[in-house]
Amino acid sequence: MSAGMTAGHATATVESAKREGKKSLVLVMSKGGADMAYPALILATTARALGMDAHIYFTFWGMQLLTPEGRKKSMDVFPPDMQKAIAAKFPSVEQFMQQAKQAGVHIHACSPTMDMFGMTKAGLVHEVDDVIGASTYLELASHPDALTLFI
Amino acid sequence: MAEAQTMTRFDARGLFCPMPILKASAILETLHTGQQLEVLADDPAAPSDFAAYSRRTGHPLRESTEDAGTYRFVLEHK
Repeated sequence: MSAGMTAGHATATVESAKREGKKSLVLVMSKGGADMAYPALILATTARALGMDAHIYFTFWGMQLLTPEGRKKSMDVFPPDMQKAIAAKFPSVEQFMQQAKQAGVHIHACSPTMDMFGMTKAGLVHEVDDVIGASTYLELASHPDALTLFI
Repeated sequence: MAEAQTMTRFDARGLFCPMPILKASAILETLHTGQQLEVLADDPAAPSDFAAYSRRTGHPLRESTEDAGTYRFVLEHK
């Protein structure tokens, strides 16, 4: 788990976005397949390139993308020949999530899902910034310049 | 006063959204005010994406042309 994983991480980023008057993209990632992960990661990393804040809140099946095994298995939604074609052009979901993280995309894990599925912080990939709940998500999404999408 | 400008070149042909923008953005951020980046691309989304990138970031898009399916953009660091 990264050193930056504190309870105040999400709140601190909301406050800094407000001060800077930045637009932000807040995605809810509720699906665990790579067909859903790629569009979310593309939008979030592009938002960062455009100078926006970007957050992805992984919840329910989306939380599978935050485990090492689930992230690998996310490509199973594609047939093998398509997996090969994608791999030739695109980074893997794992590599893409690492790139997103390096670009400053905030990766949030969902607390209720962890409870429901018996997951632990220690079992999550190290790109995770913090574990948050519905109230923190709603605060992120309530930013006046936030664009929110449920995927 | 105009100074001799450095023109960095990035060939994004064969890359599709979001890679041309992400890679061009990363290169542009290493440049200084007034320095230009020439980008070649063949992704059909590139003309509108580079225009939107320029409007959002404030880095001027000095040129946007197309020749036989290859797009050429010149971005200038603001």
